Amino acid sequence: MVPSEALAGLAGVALFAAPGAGLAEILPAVRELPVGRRLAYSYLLGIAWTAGLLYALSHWLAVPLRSPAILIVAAVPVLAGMGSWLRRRGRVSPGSSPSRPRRLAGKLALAAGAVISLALLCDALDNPLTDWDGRMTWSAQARYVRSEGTVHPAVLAQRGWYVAHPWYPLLMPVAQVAVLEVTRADPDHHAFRPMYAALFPVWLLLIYGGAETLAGRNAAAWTALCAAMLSFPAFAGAGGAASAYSDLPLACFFGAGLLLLLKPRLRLSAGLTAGILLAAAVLTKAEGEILAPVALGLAIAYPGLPGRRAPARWRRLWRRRRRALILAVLPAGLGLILLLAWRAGIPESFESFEQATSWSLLWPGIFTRIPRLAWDARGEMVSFLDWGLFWSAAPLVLIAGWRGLWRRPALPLFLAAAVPLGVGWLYATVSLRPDFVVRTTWNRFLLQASVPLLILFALALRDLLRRAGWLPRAYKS
Amino acid sequence: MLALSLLAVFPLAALRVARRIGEVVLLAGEDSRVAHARVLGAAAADALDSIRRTIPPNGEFLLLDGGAEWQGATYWVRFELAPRRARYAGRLSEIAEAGKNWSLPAGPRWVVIAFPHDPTILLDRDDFLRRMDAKHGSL
Repeated sequence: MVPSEALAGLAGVALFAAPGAGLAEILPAVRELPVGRRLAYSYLLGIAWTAGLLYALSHWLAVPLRSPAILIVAAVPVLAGMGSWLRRRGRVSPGSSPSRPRRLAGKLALAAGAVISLALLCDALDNPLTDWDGRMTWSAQARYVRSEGTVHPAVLAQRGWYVAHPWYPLLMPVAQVAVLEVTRADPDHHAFRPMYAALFPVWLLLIYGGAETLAGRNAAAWTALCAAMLSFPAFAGAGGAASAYSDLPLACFFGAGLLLLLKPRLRLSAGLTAGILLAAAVLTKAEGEILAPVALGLAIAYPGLPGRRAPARWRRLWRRRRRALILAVLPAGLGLILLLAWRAGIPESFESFEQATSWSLLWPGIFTRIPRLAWDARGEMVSFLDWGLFWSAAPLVLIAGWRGLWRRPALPLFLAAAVPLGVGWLYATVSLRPDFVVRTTWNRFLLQASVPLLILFALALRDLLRRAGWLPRAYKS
Repeated sequence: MLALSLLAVFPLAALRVARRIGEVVLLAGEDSRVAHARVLGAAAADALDSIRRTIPPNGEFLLLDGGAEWQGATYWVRFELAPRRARYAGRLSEIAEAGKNWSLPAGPRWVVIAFPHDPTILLDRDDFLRRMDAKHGSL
């Protein structure tokens, strides 16, 4: 790497971190989060805002995707955030909670997360893109979009061109274009790769933050340490942060939106933030069209889910959440409308998917294929190079720590994790080549489900740590 | 079990981290063009550069798969040549099988043939047809 190119890559990360920080300043639900979580939400909000708004402006107003438009879109929340901060500065004392000493698990998780994130950043700065889907779909689309400065390049808008998955949403390709245009990168330069690498620490912080809220610091730290040591989310060329696949961004947007919505006292700004993140999920990958409504549905049903609360109390809770939920539904719905409107101008659809699947296989395949698919999925999950021993140990933790799962948030988390895995299972069931589909997609569906799955793991681990009498007190709570 | 799983993956993670951080030193001073050639191979990168000079960025070409079986070569070449637009024209081996029943799709002047392990070839449409005719469906 040469310094000027490394700076371009880092500027690409800043292009989203800066507007995200502005939005985080404006939205109290994000502003008041602990610093690590605030950074994670800021980065995701920055991508959602910048790439999402550019996508909408290009589609609806034919605004060219060039530096002036990109910089104006990014500057608006930066200026608004600065204005908000200046206005607040005189009135409010710094509200940060006193930092508590970090225990062993916390130190290990922090060290592992930092070192692995640094390694990913080095890889992203040093090496061009070499993964399969990144070159086949996402970055190829980004090159077409960049060349014509529109989300309707000729290869997508006209029939007959050789293009993979023309109906796949373009949020991440538009984000790539934003980085490449602003940094004036050469067509061969991989300046967009650090933007993907930065999603790994974001994913870890989401897991830690969600787990800390529900399961305490130690369980959260051990869970984050386990997550940091998983090879697939970090280094996999077929979906990890080292690639340009859209599965990790989708996992982050979906997980972050869901976690905000699963708070009993849902604030208006939390609802709006979740809505923006779920809109980004819709615009990131086709599965987002399912995952975002699922997250919203779970948030709506949350007060009524089985628990110890009296009906009158959950009715009150529901009334309090109503306005915040409307604020969540609005941007997510707008994202869906944008996607459908954009697709209306793309003549070829999911033809490759339609060629590879047959719905006639659904029955009785949904039952008869279970042993075969389960065996193939297990084969992926016990791959030491991708997951280490995690998926061998995690089911035991979940079973042994079942008491920890007997809590209100566990059911929506379980359902939220089950949906992406269910989509993957359904896809393999109706596929003409189920073994190939499981081999190439199952790990990515696991990644999409990873945030709720790992928080469930933390809940079970918390129970185990509490009941482990032989453990020193410092490791328990 | 959990501690065991963490200990088991530690050497692998350490190796991956060390390799990537070590590359910073090894690859210091290498710009993106050189990195591109390092990853693709000098001959493949030169061939692609030559094609880029011939077909303008807003141009189009016919893309053929020169591999004996599907290995994704056309995806990589399409990505490397983007934003030049590609029309897929099939697999070279299918042309030989089809014999006289095969015809090159109408349209672009240039024919690009992607190989899984060899540099990409660019031919003028007429040149391509002459060669195919002379060698009965092979280059």
